[in-house]
Amino acid sequence: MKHFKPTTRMSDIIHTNYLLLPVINRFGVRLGFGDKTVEEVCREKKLNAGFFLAILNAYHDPDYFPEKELQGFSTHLIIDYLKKTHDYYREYVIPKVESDLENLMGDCQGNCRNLRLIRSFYDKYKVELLNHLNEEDTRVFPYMTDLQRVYDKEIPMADKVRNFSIRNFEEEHTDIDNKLFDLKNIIIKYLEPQYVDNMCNAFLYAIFQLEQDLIDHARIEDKILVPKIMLIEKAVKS
Amino acid sequence: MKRKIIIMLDSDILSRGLSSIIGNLPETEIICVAPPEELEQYAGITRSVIALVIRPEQLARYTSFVHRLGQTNTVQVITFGLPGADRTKGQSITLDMDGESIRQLILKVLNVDKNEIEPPPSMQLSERETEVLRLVARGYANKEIAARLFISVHTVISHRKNITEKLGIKSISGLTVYAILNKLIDTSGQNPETLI
Ligand SMILES: [Fe+2]
Ligand SMILES: [Fe+2]
Repeated sequence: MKHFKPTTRMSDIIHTNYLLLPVINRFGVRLGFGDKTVEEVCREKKLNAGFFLAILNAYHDPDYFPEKELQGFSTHLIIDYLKKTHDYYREYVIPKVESDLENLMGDCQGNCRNLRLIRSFYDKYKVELLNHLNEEDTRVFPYMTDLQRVYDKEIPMADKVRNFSIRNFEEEHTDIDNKLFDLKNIIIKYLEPQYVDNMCNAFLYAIFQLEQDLIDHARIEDKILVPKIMLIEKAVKS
Repeated sequence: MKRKIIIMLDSDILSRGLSSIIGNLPETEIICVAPPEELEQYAGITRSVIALVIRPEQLARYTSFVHRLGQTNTVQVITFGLPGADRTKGQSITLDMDGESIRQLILKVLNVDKNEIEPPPSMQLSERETEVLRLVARGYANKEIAARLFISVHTVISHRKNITEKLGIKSISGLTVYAILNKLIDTSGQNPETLI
């Protein structure tokens, strides 16, 4: 697969893969870029072009994951991107999935009992996902930011930084991914289709897309951010 | 399982030549990594059978990365060298080989796992597995299930693994939905949604 370069035109990137639209938006990059290249847009928006490209390429090609390069970017930069992604899930993706599910239920034909089961399953999943995002935004990320600042000697060491460890932050990602996969698979394989097909398709598209986005997101957390923070913990706390 | 061929050669002529000889294989992707591009950038590959074509003298540099890839993939190393180069160790492609033999070698290497990657023949749950699934769906823990069915916890765990593989459902609440949809548990007199 071809990877995007600093000299690639922004418009070509979107023509190649329109699923990158929300990703560029997270960086504050919006459409209407004429013939501008990645470099030019990043210079204008004061973005780190290396980081921008690494994120786009990794999203575009799941095999491409330059771990060392990504770990080299600043903690603040990475967290900022991840937080924007959380906002995107909360403000757009989850409401969208939900309204698709509402439409699906609203047009249910015949016995709607089974669709209601799907909804209960989704509701439980949603609570779990929101809790997870919330935990990261309110506890994990602030800790990481503080730790980095202690390391950079911007703030003194404090108890709340000393007593927290990234190891406490258990791996919940697998469980979250699994549930979403189950939801898809139950509908695809086991649910009797008593619904309007297009409504169900819309719901599934939304789930597929959320799943892909979450997998990309979680691997940045697990493989880039967490190892990076562990190294800093080692340096600061021992 | 997906199949990937990673060609890591320092010459564009060689990597392009080799990929055109290999040509199109079903569900197989060819990735050419040309220095200074680093092999490590492909740390994202998972659940694949990978054939890595590399010069033998480069191999030492990437041992730890190949090992890492091997944790989530099946990696087969194919060395690339001059005719008469050391063929004693493992598989190798040499400059004097004809296209067909190269293709055959790649095919052989990529099919290594054929038996493992094919799904188990029966996707039907056995009677015992159905029994276990019913109890899982009703919220029983492994220990309780073991006690009720007079089997060991170890056996329960292995039944659960098979159930998940056969149905493609990993979470407990997902299994519960499945059990209710298929009327494996009696939900009369209660709202089934409360069980999930
Ligand atoms: Fe997150
Ligand atoms: Fe997360």
